[in-house]
Amino acid sequence: MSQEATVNMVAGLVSLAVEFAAASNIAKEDVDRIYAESYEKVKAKDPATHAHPDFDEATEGGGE
Amino acid sequence: MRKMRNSLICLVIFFAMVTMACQSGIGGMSVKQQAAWTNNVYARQYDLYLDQILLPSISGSERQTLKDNPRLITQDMLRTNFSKNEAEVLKAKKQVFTELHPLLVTYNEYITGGMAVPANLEYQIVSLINRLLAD
Repeated sequence: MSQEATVNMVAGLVSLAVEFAAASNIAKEDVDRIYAESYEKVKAKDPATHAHPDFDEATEGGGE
Repeated sequence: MRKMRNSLICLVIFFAMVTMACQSGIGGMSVKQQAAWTNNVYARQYDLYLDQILLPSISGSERQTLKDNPRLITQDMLRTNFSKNEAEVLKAKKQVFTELHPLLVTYNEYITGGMAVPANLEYQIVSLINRLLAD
């Protein structure tokens, strides 16, 4: 392999590694954001914090 | 000598890329991706439950506001009659949500704290989610 070809190959690998690292970071930020949003949804949807129908008393009339 | 040095550089770059690939969770979902999926299943199922218990007259943006912040739901916003079968199904769902929510919060605390989730906790959550999806 000539010196020029080797330099090109190494440069190509380095640029690929840089691109890959950038893509990995973006993906990680996205995952962190999506995860954080999903956890906020879970925290908000706590069945202990709001009213529910009384299902034992709410069956008269055979439904709506 | 030069050829060997070039090969060594290529090898170092290759291993760096493999390491980055492993860290980004390629080849399967990362722990946070799994947790996000679990959370979103819970949230989606909860929204469906709310759709069934809220008065049909509540619609559009008000319904969405209540889904985003169920604390705002009061007794007068709820349906008052269900078929017997519907009431049984919704009562069972409410029970599952009541059991699942604290477990899911604990699970997420492990994730955000960077700790491994105990296997029995994961098992309980998966079992409850299966019950939710089965109804």
